[in-house]
Amino acid sequence: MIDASHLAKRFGSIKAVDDLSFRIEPGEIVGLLGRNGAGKTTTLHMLAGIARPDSGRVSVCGIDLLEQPKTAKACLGFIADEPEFFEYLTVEEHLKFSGMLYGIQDTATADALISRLGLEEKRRAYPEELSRGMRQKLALACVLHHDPKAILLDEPLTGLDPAGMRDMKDTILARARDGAAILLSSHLLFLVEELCSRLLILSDGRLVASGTMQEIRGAAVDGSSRELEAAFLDITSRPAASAT
Amino acid sequence: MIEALWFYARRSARNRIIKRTRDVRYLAGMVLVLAYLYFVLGRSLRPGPPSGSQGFIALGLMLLLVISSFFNWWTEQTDHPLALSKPQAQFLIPAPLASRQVMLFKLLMSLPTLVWGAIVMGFVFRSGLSPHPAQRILTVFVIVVALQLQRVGAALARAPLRPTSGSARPIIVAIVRIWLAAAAVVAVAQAASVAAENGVLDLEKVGIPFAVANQLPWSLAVWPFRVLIAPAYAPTLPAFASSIAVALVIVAIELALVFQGDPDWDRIGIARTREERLSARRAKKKNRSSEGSLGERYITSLVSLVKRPAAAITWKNLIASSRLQPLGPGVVMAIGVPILLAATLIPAFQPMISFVLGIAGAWAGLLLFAGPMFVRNDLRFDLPRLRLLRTYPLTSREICAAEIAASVSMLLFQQLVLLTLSTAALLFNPVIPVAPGRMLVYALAVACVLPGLNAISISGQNIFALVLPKWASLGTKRPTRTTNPGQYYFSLLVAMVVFVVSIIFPAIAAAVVAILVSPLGASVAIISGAIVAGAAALGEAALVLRWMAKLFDRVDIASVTGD
Repeated sequence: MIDASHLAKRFGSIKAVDDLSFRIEPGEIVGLLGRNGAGKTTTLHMLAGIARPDSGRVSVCGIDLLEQPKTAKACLGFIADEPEFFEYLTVEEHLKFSGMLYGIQDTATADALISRLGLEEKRRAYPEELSRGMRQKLALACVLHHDPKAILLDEPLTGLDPAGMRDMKDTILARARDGAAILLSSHLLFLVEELCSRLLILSDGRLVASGTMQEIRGAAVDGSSRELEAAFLDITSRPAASAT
Repeated sequence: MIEALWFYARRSARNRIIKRTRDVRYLAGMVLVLAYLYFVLGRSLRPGPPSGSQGFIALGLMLLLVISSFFNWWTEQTDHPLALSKPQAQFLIPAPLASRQVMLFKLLMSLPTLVWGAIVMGFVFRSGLSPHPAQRILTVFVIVVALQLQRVGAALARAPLRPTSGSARPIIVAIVRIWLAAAAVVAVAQAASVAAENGVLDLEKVGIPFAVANQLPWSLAVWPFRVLIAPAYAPTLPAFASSIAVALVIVAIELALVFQGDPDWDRIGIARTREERLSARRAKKKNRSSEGSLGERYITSLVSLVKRPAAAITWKNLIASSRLQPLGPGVVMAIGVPILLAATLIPAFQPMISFVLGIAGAWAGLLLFAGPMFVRNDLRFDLPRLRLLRTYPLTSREICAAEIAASVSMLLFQQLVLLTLSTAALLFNPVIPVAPGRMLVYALAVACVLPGLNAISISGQNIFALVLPKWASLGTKRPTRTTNPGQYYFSLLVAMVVFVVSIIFPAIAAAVVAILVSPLGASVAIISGAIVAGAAALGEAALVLRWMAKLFDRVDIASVTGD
C-alpha cells in the first residue's frame, strides 16, 4: 500500500509538487499522468525516498518513509525511466548485489528471474552489452528480486519492442494480482488504459484529476465521455485547480 | 566553420563560469583558490636564484618526456585524444565540416588545459629551472604542446585513418617505436651515469659502461627531448630566444605530421570513459567464469563475513576496483619498492640505499596524502547514481560507511603490503642503523594508525565531493579541460588540510599515553601511543561520517547526475 499525504516540493521558486495526496491499495495499478514538467518524476522520487518532501508524509506498506526509511524501502521497488547500472558488474552480479542489499541469501530467486525474463544468455554480460530492452528487464529483475509490496514505475515501456512490452505488461499485472500496489507513470496512454484501474493527473505540481478511467473520461468540460487522450489534453490545459 | 566552433568554445566557457559563480559555495571556493594562488604560489612569480641541482632536474625532465613518449607509442591509449564528446559527435560529424577542421577544433579545445597546466607547473616547479617565471611557463607550454601533439600523432598513426591513407604507416610506427625504445635505454643510462657522478650508484661494481650513453651517436637518440627542455635553463634572453625557436621547430614539424593524418571519425567515435573502454575489452573475453577471478572470490568471501546488507556496497566497490585496475601503479609500487630495498642487500647497490629509501618514503607519503584522491571507489564513484543509492533499504550513514570502507580497505591494503614487504626487506640490512626489534615496533605502530588516518582522509575527499560536486571528479567521467588540474590541486589541498587538522587530536592523545606508559619501556610506549592515536582517528572518522550522512541526505540530485 502506498499512501501520500499533502506532499509538497519546491525547487527554488518553482513549485514542483503542491499539496498532493492519494492512496494506492494492494493489488491496484494506478497511472500517474501529466505533461512534461508536471511533477510526475518528482512525485515518484519522493515516494521512493530519493527526494525529501518539503512537507507532507509518505507511507509505504503502512510504514512512514520519512521516519523509518530503511524498513519502508525494504518493501518498495522503483524503476527509473533511465535505469542505472554499475558498468563493472555483470547481469547475475547485479542480482547478487541487490539480493545482498535486501538480505536475500539464496540464488534461486535470482536464477528464476533471469530465466523468466529471458536474460539467461546475458547472465555474464555487462550492462553496456545489453540492448535497451534487456536493460529494462535487468532493472525489473533487480526490483522484483526482493518481492516488493509497493512498486513505482517511471516510463517502464520506453524503448521496448512489442514482445518486450507484452512481457513487461504481463509482469506488472502478475505483480498486482499477487497483491502489490503499483504506481505507474507514463506518457503512453494506451498502456495506462490497458493496465490501470485508476488515474492521477498532475498539472503544475497539483493533482487536477483523479478517478477511474470512466470518471476521467467523463471529467471533460462538456461532461461527455470521450477518448482518454482528449480528456487528458482537456484536463491538463486548464489552469491548475483542485482535483476532480 | 571557425565562427561556429569559436562560438561554442566561448559560450561554453562563459556559461560554465556564470553558472558556477551563481552558487555561493562555488563562488566562495573560487575566492579561496585565488587567494591561495596569490599568497602561496604567487611568491614563485618573483624571480629568485635557482635552487636544486640543474643536472638532476634536467635529467628528470628528459626521462619524463622520453618515458611519456615511449608509452604513447608502445601502449594502448585509454582514450583517443581526438575522441569527441557525445554532443560534439552529434553536431560536428553530420555537419558540413572537413575532417581536418574537426581535428583542428579538437586541438584548439585542448589549448586552455595546456595553458593552465603550463602556468601552474611554471608556478610550482622552479627547483633547478630558470629563475624567471615567464621563461619556465613558456618552456613548459612548449613541452606540453609537443607531448600532446605527439600523443595525437601516435593515436592517429596507430588508430584508424581513412582507407585512402598510405600503407607506409606500419613502417613509420615501427621506426618511431624502435627510436623511442633506444631513447629510453639511453636516457636511463644517462641517469645512471649522473647518479654515479653524484655518488648515488657505484658503477664500477656494476660493471656496465653507462657513460657511453653521453657520447655520439647514442646521445642523438635523446637529442629532440634535450632540445625541448633546453629553454628552461637558457641563462640569457638571446640564448632563451634561440633555444625556444629550435624547440618550436620541433613542435611545427609535429603539427605538420599530425595534419597529414585524416582521422576516420566514425571509428574514433565518441569519447568513452576509461571504465567503458576497460569493460569493452573485458567483454571481448569469452568463457567468463561466473565465480569471477581468484581475487574476486577472495574479496567475496572476505566481505561475506560481514553479515550486514550494507556490505553489498563495499563488495561491489571492491569487485569494481579489482576489475578496473587489477595491476595498478599502487600494487606495482607496493611490490617494486620492497624489491629495490631488498636489492640494497647486494653490496654493489648499497650506495643507493638513501636514494631507494627516498623513493620508498616518497611513495609512502604519496599514498598517505594523495592516495585518498586517487583511490576513489566510494561515493565519488557512485554519486552519479545517487537516485539508485537512495532507494536502498539502508540508512544514509550505512551507505556512506560502506562506500568509505571500500576505499579505506583498498588504500590500506596497498599501504600494508608496502609496509610489510619494506620492513622485511630492511630488517637485516646492515646499512640501516635500527635494530630489527625496534624496526618491527615502528612498523606495528604505523599499521595501528593507518586505518584511522585513511578513514578521515577519504571521508574528507567524499565530503568535498558532496559539498562541491561540480569541482569533484565524479563517476567514471574524467575531468576535462581546465577543470582537470583545478580539481586535482583543490582536492589535494583539501586532503592536506583535512589530514593536518585531523591529526592534531590523535597526536596529542598518543603523546599523553606514551608519556604515561614510558616507564614500561620505549616499545610499549610507542605501541600504546599508536593504538590510542589509531583509535582517536577512528573516533574522529565516526564523527565525520555522521556529518557526511547529513550531507548525503541534503545533496541535490541534479548537481551530481547532471539532470
